[in-house]
Amino acid sequence: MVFSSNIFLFFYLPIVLGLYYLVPGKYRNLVLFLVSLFFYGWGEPAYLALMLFVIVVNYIGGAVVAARRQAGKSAKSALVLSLALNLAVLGYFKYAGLLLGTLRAVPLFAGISVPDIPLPIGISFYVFQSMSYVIDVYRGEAAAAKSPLCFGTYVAMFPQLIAGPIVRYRDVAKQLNSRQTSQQQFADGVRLFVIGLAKKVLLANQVGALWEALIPGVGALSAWFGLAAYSLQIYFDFSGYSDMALGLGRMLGFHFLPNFNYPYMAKSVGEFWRRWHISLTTWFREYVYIPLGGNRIGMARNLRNILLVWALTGIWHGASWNFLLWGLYYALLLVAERLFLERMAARWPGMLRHLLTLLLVAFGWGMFYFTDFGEGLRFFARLFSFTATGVHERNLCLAYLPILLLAALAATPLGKRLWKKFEPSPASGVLQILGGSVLFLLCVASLATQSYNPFIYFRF
Amino acid sequence: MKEKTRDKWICVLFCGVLGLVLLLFLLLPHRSFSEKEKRYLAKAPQLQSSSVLSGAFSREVETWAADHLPGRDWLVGLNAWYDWASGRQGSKDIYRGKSGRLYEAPAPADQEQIRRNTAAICAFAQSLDRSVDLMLVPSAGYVLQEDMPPLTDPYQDNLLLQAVEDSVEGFAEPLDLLACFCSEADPEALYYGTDHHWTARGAWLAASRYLESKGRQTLPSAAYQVTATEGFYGTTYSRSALWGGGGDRIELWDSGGRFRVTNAEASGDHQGLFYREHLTESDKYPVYLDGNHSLLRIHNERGSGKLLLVRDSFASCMACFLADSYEELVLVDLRYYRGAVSQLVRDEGFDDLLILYGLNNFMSDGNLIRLE
Repeated sequence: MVFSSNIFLFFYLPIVLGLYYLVPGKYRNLVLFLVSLFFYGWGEPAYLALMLFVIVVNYIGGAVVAARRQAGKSAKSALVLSLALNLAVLGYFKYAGLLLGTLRAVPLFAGISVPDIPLPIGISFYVFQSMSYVIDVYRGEAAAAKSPLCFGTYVAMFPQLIAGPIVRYRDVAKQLNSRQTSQQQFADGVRLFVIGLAKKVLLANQVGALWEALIPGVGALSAWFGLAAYSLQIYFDFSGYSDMALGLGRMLGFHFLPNFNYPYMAKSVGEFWRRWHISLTTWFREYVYIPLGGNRIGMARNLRNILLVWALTGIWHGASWNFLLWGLYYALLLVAERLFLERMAARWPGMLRHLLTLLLVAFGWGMFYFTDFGEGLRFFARLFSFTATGVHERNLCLAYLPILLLAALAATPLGKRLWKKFEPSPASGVLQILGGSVLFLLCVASLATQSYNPFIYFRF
Repeated sequence: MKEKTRDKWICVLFCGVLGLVLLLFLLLPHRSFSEKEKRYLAKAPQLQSSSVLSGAFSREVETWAADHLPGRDWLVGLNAWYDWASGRQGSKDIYRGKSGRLYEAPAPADQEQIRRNTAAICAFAQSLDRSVDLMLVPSAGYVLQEDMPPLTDPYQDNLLLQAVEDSVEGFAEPLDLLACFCSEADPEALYYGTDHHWTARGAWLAASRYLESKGRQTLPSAAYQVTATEGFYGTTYSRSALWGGGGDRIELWDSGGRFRVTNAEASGDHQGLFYREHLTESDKYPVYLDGNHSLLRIHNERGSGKLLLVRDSFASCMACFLADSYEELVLVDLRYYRGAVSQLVRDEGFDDLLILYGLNNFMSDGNLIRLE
């Protein structure tokens, strides 16, 4: 089930909210746990068992680690064992097909069969969350979960289950045991949810349709338009989904940390990654980069750490080699920035740095999109070719220009700034309700049409 | 408005709307058929352990819920109008003209498909060792080009028709409707505004051209007794979802002739060319010869000669005019007809053979290769 669907909006959500607010506070975790299992099982009934397995393994792992720590013994082997199990699950269900398929290209292994394992939805997110729990307990940064239910609720919680953000256990540990709900919080949640829904349905889906229509075309100009459209699509798709997750969490009394902070305003690649998918970069920094020594251990090992973290970040995004390439591309850019680019660019005008960053990020999305290297190369060749754009593509670009510009504006904090100025005025309340209603209605109208609603981040 | 009041309203509205839609879905009766989409809507799925485990049940529920969402048609219309207002009509498969008329977007010029279809026609003519007539109906968008809004793809009917003509040369006799239609004083009267088909007037014009080319007698438009029905909303209307605006007027041109129609799919004869029961539906075009059938025969005792019409839906209306001239008219629709057309020709000995398609259909139809 995705949030931007009729079934979620008009069936699942009203029933869940009704149940959640009708039961006494102490049963809310139970309700949340059960409805989350239903949410997960809706699309992937067969994989419910897998998620329950991950929950049990990590709950036991956390409990054993905590017990050994308390007894003053080393908990290292328990930690390693539980991490290994998590990575085995992720490796088998996500990467086995890729690895064996690649291995088959070697003549010696040509005969091996590649298992056809459909990717369990959200596995990369909930396995990473579970790992953060055991590690936090091991480090003493979080207490072990009080009950399997409490931990299960944390892992399965439907708002962030299938597309993040990756909520670290320590950030929500307190809220899992007791949390406040209020009218204001609920309204905050609705606001976030509607904005997220509009980002996904009214912006991402539309510019995405342009991109899909332009891929098979010819001409350099339409390729640039397409790349811009795809860059906007992926941002609004993902950040819209994160907003909806945050909003739903807020309606249930949770405060998750924001996952995006206007990434396309960044003036360097490093800054971009401090603003894009923050929960993922935080995870890799906390649990991979810093434990490896981060940047305090000399140049050579620092470079190795950057390379490793970004290779992992890349391949986390999907079981295909182009994601690895995409990650290494960022490793290269970040190293270049650290070594000389940042110092060099410091004297350039901000606008230039901004544009350059956008360009580098957009190239990245080009690598990200094409899982087939040949197709990707052809696309990049088209970007830098001198072929003219056909009438059909030109018409498409112009027809989508208004929505593309709107999306570009929406990727800046301009709207927020204007709203902040306007908010104190007495009409702002009415306007907010009216504007929100119109957005919501247009989203529902678009969903009712259901012409185009693929969800990009499903593959992770 | 105070923040507290505002927040209260937001909570009430949000929960209210979600709950209300759910309630309406459960309480309102569900339609089984959507006339606008011309399809049966999904039925409530049956709960079975096997379909639940495979995830099929979930997908069925989602389709069912989407099909019966309260206010669905209205919402789909809102979305269509929103897309139109934000300037994206040109990206869709139906264009809305400046006058409000709706047009099929031009079919992509698929050279390979043209080659295959024209080759099939040539082979057909060759195997019968006689020439066939070919008539392709220009698209409304080409004839009414001035009505096109900006940012729409150009119609290239002239180029496409030329290409077809060139490749069937020597095998088929193409009849040019383009010049004839474009020189009409009121070209808007030739096509519907909410449907991709031609009107009775357009079909009459084309039929007259064809009969003239065969040296046959034609009837002037004044010779017909015309009855009209308002409120025709055709396929471009349903496909665009741009609800509102006036419907078309559909005309039955009655020459006073006596016709008997036999139909491969129905037993018994039908007296007359018009199936008036379709006039009560919103898409009234099937009033002509009951829409698409694999094989139809029209008998007219006062006519002479025998004509085979290999056709798409454009012919349903035009056959009503050709029927005045021929004693027997056989209409074959290759999308449904499973026999060999060349065998049919050998068996029945037709005086004339005409292949009639709308240009857009001709460009995309893959069934012509079954002519032989």
